[in-house]
Amino acid sequence: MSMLPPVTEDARLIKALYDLVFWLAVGVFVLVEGLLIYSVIRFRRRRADELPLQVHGNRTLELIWTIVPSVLIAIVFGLAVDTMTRMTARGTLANPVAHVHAIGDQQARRRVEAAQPVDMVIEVIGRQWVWQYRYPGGDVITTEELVVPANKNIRLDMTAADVIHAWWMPQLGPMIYVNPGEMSYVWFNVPPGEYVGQCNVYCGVAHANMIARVRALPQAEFDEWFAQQSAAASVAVEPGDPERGRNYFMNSACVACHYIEGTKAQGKVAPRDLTRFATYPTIAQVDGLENNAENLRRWLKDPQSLKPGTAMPNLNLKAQDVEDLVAYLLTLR
Amino acid sequence: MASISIPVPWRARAKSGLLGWLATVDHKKIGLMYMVMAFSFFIGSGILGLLIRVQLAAPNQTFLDPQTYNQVFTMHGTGMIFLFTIPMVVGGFGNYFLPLMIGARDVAFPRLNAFSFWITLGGGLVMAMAFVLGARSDASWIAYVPYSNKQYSPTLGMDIWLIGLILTGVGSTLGAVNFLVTVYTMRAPGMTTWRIPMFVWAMVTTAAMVLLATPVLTAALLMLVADRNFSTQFFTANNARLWQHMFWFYSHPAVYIMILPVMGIVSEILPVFSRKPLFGAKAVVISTILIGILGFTTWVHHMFVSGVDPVIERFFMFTTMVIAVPTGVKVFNWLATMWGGSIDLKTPMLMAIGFLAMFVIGGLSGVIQALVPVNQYVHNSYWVVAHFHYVLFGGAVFGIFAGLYYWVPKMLGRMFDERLGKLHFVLMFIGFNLTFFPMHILGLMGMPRRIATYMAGRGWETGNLIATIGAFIIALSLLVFFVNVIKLRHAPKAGNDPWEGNTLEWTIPSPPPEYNFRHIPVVESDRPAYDERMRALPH
Amino acid sequence: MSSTASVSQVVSAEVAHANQNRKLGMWLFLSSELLIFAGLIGAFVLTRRSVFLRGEEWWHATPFSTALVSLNTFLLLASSLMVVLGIESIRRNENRKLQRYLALTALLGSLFLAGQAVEYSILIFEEGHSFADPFGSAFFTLTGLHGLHVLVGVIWCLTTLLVARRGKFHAHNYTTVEIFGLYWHFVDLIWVIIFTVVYLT
Repeated sequence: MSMLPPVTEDARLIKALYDLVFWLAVGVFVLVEGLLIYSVIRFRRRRADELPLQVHGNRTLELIWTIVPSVLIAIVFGLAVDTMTRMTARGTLANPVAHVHAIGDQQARRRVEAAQPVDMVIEVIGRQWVWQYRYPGGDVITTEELVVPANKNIRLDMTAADVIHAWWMPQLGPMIYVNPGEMSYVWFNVPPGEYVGQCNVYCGVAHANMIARVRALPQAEFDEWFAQQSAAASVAVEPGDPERGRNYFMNSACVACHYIEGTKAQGKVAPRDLTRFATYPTIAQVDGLENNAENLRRWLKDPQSLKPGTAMPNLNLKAQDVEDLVAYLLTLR
Repeated sequence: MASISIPVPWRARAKSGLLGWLATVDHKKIGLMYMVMAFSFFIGSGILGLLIRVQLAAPNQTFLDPQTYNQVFTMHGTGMIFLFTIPMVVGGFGNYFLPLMIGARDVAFPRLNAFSFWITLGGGLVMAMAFVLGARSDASWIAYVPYSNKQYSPTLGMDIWLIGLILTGVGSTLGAVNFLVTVYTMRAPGMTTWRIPMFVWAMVTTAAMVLLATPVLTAALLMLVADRNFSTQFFTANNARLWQHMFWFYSHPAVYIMILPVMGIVSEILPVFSRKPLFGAKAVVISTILIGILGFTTWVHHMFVSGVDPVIERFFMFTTMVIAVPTGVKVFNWLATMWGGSIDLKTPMLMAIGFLAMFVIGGLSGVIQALVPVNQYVHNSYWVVAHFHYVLFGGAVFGIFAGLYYWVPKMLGRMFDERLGKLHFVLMFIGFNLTFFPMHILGLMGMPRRIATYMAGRGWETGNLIATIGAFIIALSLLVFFVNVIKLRHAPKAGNDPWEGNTLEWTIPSPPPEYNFRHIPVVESDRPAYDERMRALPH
Repeated sequence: MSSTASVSQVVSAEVAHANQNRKLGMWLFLSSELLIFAGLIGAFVLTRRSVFLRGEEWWHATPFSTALVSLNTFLLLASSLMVVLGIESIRRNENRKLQRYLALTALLGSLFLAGQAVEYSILIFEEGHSFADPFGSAFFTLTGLHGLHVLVGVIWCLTTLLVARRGKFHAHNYTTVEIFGLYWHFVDLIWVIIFTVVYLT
């Protein structure tokens, strides 16, 4: 009955509060269940005609079990407020940070920027059904994982592209909703390691697949990784590999909607069975959209532009993943 | 017993057969129909619950595809809340026993009562039939916008879900009007304020909550229907929190709408099977009313992580925690009622004790998750799923079964088999805890609710497997209950008062005649049936 | 101890009881209705607020429509007065007067609806509003639901009038009229709130 080991100050504060109140609750639980079990055993009916003393109440007792719980509640409330004021991401009581505000609310935005000095700001977009991370400079965009430098102050500026999502990394501190049309913020500073969490507001078919991973690397390793990513972003992609494509397909949101016989893909949202995809004349039954590698590439990059209103979302696939998926899908005969 | 002779109304000569049920305006028949309807939806939604547990028994399962899974949990929640618990406790027990317990021959508006039932049934059937035929909502029972907008939920099922809820809402609002008027104007002579039975107090509070909370949900549902079908912009022009506020303004009080009547049932059963009056009856009544009022001041605790002002968060954290005080008063008064009593562990009493033992867990976890920082961890996790099942299954369902074992002898005139009843209790108690206790731990380990599957390797396998096994034990316990119901046909007769009850329904035959009371009773204390029994004793 | 009342006493007691029930029931029903309107008025206010926050333009009533709506408000208030006078008449057993006042109530209610229709047509055809803009969503839903209540009220009024023509009401039996009156005053009261919130702020 314990929370996952915290790695940030906020998460530690949350866990400390929880642990304290949990054991308090265990105390109340033992008291109530103890009285209940004792009564059932001690006061069981022994003779069919016994009539116990007809007690209607007791003013003193009533007062005791009204006042004592009230005091307990007041203490716990005080502890919680204390924790809230200490949680770094929230600023001070005098100037509560509007941690969620409408995009374009400049005043709130300035308060956020003044709240804490940060070493790096990463933009996060939650969309059905991936988290997309945009690094400073705008060249590097990742989706599978968020790589950050360890022991640095990081701020995530988050918004949603479609429906409500929630950023929940249990070990990293407070959860927050990520709303369309609004900005939400998370601050953290973590030791090296890998942390996992996931979207925590139901957001549709592949909600369960909307995993969030954070990998914190020492600064030097992070710089190396970042340089690689920046280079990869400008380098041409290599030819698609069907095996890699298959791997990507089976381990992403694709399987939630698509059906391919004999595989993990058992989704029934997409109208067409993909088992023999390569034999179909068109893509997504769009007139004139002939089923070939070039059109498939266009389709995967932006389905809505080719068939407005289709249930297939823009998954913001990376160029290499598109190549691999095209290679894989065209092997399905 | 003192009584007043008022001629039995002409309606006493009721029609029999199928037409007798379809055209009835008798509160008892309507109550029974509510119960049969609610129980059918309990079975249906329970089967959906089993499907959920099968899917989650192990990681990466494909027993249900994700879309079907999402439709299944949406209907599981909707069915259990709107079509089972509320109609069962308010429509079923309320209709049958509220008039009997206040010594009335019917409710104030019998025809309106029938209308409430048929419109509730209509709403339920529309949703259920659409579900069976494939027009299903998958937006979960809270149907947050923008996911439930036309753009992201284009299905007909979503519209049908909304319309079904509007209909059941109208039904329960009209029912609430009926109950309030009935209790206000139709109590038997001598039934002064503090002589009103606990269950009736609970129903009055519940009815007032239904009356004031439901219309706000109805307005929100109408606005969403308009957004989806007439391109209005209520929830797109505003931020999505407008829906959240309006939805929870109803749906948090709805928790008390489900639990207060059950607390009323338990407050009736514990004294009877302890052979003592309810300890601190006034305090219990006052706590009921306080819970009803405070129930309207807590809804924002569902939105602690959706982005509300920190000052508002503190306010709602406080009001939410304060509810623990009147709830605690109830719990301690129930314990004090049993203390020094003569406790007879018949099945209704076992179920009531089960309620008390399990509800306490749900109440405590409720206080813990009301703390904003803790809520920022457990919100929407399986911890919350565990919490509200301890309140609504450990609390409401155990209480409902307590009520059924207690009152079915009155309604049908036959006694349940005690051994089967105890077996039912033991199996359900074990199965319930196996299913829902591990969910606390799963939530703390990071498992979100409403996920169709999960990866291996996050430590969630064991807890989920135990929960699935527990769910099948619950199903088995319900089979035992059905056997017990079938055996009722040939069970021994109940007589007027099999339990040495305290309230007026035990002074008349089982099942009660159409007109309830041949003579309107005159009430002289809060335990009229007890008084009558005492008078009959040889001095 | 058993006391027996005469059948006629019991029957008149039960009728009085039933009448009291119906009035209380109507009050409770209206309290529920009040909250539906509270929800929609709240949505209207929030929609207006969020439009302001985004720095967009909200709707302004033209002098003509302000005059029209003020006239409409007056009509509805006058109709409430007619109901009061009608109930006063039947208390004095003046059935003919009751019928006249009910007819006037229905007439004023219908005029209100006609005025609303004119206002709607200006908003839709001249100003180009529809359900699909933020103002239109909030405005048409709120006033539309209220208009629906007026329509129901007018039909109810005419039904009551028909019953009155058959001479069913007299000084000791007019609860049905009173209950209609409760409803009509409620619809009137809601309009005053809507008028204040929508047009005067």
